[in-house]
Amino acid sequence: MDWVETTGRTVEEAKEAALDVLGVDASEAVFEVLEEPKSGFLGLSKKAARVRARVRPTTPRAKDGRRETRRRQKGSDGAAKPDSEVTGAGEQLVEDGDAGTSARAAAVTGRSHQKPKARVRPQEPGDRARRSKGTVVEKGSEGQALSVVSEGPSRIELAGLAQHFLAGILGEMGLAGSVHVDSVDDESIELSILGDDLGVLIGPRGHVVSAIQELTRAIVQRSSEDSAGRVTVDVAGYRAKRVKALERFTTQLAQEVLESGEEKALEPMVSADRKIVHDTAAEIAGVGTRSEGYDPRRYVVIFRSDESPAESD
Amino acid sequence: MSDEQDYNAVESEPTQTINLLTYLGNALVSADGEVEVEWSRSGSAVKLTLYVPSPDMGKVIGKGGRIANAIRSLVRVAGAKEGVETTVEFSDTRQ
Repeated sequence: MDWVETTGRTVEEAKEAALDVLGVDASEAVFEVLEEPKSGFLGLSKKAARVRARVRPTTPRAKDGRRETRRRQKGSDGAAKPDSEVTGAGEQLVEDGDAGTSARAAAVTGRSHQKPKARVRPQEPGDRARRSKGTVVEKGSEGQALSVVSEGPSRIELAGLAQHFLAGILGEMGLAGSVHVDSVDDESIELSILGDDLGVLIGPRGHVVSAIQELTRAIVQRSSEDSAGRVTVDVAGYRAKRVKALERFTTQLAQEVLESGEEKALEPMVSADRKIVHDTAAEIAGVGTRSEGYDPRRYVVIFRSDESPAESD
Repeated sequence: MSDEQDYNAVESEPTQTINLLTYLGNALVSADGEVEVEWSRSGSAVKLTLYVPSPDMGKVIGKGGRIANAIRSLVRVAGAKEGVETTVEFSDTRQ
């Protein structure tokens, strides 16, 4: 997915955000304006501007072999604050002419604001506006829109659909940010929303980010022929941090179980979190885990075991 | 920002909240444009009802109401931005 979707208070701002993410100059990017900002009442922005952008393809590139590099480095603050973090890495990379490679590199590091704004060349919105909401353009197929509602959308298309859905939420809520597809494979689709003021999308104890993930999973499931697999959505690095904390907590608890021999039940968690507990405990010799109870109050129990730990979920 | 809004209109339309619910509804049911949102407001309390075609009810409710609750969570956030407390209900499209 070379496309990124971004939002901002103005189209220009959304484009800037997209360029920050792509790490290229405006002249090297292709834009689509998905939504003009609508200002409401008293000039309060009712709807953020939404654009979609990608690096202007220069030479045809093979589709395969590009995917493994796509995984974004987790917890990169530069990526979380594209506007403030200047690394310069993106700038240098784009000069070699292989825009595709540099785009991914720069997406991780953020980008400076040195690009000349005058060179912004938006694509005619009219042309793009005709496309319905449920469509996505796949990279490589030059400007050709592939409908994702057609039968058996590919995993990449599903990820694009999810990305689009999330950008739509940002737009509706008037929040500025960008949506990234971090990785796609047969088992999972990982997305993240980055931006400065996204605390509201995390919510108390990640309640809101979980809701967003749930909805995104439903959207993907609805459009896929078979199982959607795992769909994860992170907001501003929240989940990445939480995974780490949960791993630490599990390890600590497992040590206590090892010492005392007493089982310990964790608080109820969603399946994704339970999996983290299972996976973490599986690495620790001498403890096993099982899940008990029923969703949404299903929880993991850690127990001392001499056998190899059995996983359940 | 919310001061201005509060000052303004006790009964004003929480546009963003309504739009978000409409957006989520449309994204979740099969055909675009089939959902409808009705709302009523009393002070800062806004009650929203998402009407969807009967065959699509399951898509907005989900197993054990999981999707419905996810919608509620997100709509609550949009409502908070507009200074209102939301309750969301789901109903079949009226015949």
